[in-house]
Amino acid sequence: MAFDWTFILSVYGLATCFAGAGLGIIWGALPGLSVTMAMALLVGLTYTMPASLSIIFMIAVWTGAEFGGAISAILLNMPGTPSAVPTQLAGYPLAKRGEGGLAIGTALTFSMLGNWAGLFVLLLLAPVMIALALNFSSWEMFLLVTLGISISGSLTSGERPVKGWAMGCLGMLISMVGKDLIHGVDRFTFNISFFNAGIHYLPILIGLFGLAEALKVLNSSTPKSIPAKMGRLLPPLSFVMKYWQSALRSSAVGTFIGAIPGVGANIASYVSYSLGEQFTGRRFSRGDFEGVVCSEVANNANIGGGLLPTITLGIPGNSSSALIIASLALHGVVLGPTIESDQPGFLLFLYVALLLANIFMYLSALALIRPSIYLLSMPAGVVMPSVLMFCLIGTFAASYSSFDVAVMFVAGIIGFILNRQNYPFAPLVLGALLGPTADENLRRSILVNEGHYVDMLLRPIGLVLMIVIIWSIYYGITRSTKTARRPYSTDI
Amino acid sequence: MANDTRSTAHHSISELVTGICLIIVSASFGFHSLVMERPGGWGTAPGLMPLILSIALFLLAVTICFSTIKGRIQPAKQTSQVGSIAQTLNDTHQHFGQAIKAACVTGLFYFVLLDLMPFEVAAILFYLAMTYLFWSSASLVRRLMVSIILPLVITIVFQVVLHMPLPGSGSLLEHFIYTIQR
Repeated sequence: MAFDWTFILSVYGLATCFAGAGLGIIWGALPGLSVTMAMALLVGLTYTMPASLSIIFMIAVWTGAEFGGAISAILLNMPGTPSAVPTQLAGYPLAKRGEGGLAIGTALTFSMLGNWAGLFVLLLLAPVMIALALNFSSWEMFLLVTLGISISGSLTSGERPVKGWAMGCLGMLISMVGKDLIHGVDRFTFNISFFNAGIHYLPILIGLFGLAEALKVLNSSTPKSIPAKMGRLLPPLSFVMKYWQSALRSSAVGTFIGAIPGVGANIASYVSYSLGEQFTGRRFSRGDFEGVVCSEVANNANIGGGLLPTITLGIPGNSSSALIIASLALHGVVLGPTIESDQPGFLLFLYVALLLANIFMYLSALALIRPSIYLLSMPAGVVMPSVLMFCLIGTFAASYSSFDVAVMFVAGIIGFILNRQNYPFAPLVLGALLGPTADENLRRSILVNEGHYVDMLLRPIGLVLMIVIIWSIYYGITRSTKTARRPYSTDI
Repeated sequence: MANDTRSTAHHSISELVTGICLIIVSASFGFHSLVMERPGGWGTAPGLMPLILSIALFLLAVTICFSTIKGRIQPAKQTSQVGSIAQTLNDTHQHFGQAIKAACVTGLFYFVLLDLMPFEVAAILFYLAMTYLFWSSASLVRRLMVSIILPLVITIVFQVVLHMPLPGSGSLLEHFIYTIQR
């Protein structure tokens, strides 16, 4: 399978990129439908596409949906995606003052700048990370996966990291079902033939981010009124000059948080927003373009950051990049340090796809902002059944297996129940995705280092990783203990 | 205050139930990992990683149960939201019931209706049921229109535009295309 970047410039490539960005914007704008949900439902559609088209489509959907959330957040006071909540806080008061169009234009322009920043960091650091990762032994790979899941558990489960870690363990246990890769022994199959091939993570992803999320927002209210006037759309160039410091800071925050396994755009936009308030000394919630800039730059820079560990280590930076892995896995493309030797030209292809997706996101947004506002008035009673239908069709299309649909269904119901108790999904997804890698590498390192376990434990990279794992667990426990001492706690 | 206590108690119980379920799952995985064959000893045993994970999950689940019982952490985010707690409690129960209904209709559509009838007919029934449950404010004509148009659009998009097979025992459109091609 070859990845030739010039293919993106073909009619098929450009049309797919445009369609993906447009779909992403509309999906992101619909209140309650998250970016990950869009990608989870659309990943099934990529099965019939060639791998190259599939990656263009998914990247374009991701880029479009990250921005799309800002439209409803600013105009309707209903965030299209969870990462658009800070945009809503700073942007909706602007819309009430009649500056909604300019606020959306600012969100769009700075979303694009955020994407550039993420791409720049990806370009700069991906070769370095790959060179570093190629020196990793099985033991270090095992520790890296453990680190990803422990950090994800610590940072995504609010005040109770034990819940995040429990989800990580559960995800890894689910991934153990099926034939063992080293000895070929059946594990947890209970003589049921469906389990022999294991439980694939894609139906779990669609169940958790599609079905469970749809059930969660089933009764969400439909916007009553849509502002008649939006005013001017594109911001003047002086805006870029005025807010460059915030944009730069938010780019760094978004990219860095994106690169932390399992931590997504939601946290990036919150952190960037509150940092922006601290730096400027202003309350953005009174209506402030700078607040919109901070939030939008961060959640779009998160794309490049999220892709960094995804393509170089095979460890998803966030749930959306887990879906990029899933989409490519449908075509037999495995991401990791050997990606350039396995799939020559892949990195350049990805960079060009990101670049074009960003440009198309901008162009599609200019064309779609006004029409998409009318789509926002669609009642949840129509949108949500369609989402449920897409969950079923998407899962079926990916494998033509009713067993996978059943897995998706069970994952969705369990996910819905767990979500009500604030159990995070990101560590579970990471566990389900990376469980086999951790298992294989742990056993291989024991086999290779038999009798020399002390040497294995004292390898410098491994030592650093172990210290970071211990720190992340310690951090989670201390944060949890501090919260427990407080009489009441509130989730944001 | 009474409602606040009820809400907290309700969530504590559901958290406890989830914790106990996790303990059962981990114990079950742990037991099966122990009895799994070990061709090359424990070092490379297929049950090694699942055993480690089961122990970790067991300990974490016990921690969740203990912290819930001790009530050290306010468990429900609903209680901390602004607004009437009685209303929140009522909404939570109502929402859970609605979600269960939606899940049942979806399950019925996929696992029963699709085996009995063509995709379009089953999908129309699915949309009718869903709009009846979740779009009660709309008139019957609007609900009917949506329930007929959306399944047809979905069938055309997936089968004609994307060339993707739909689940179930076939669709009327597929049959129609096949008849024309013959």
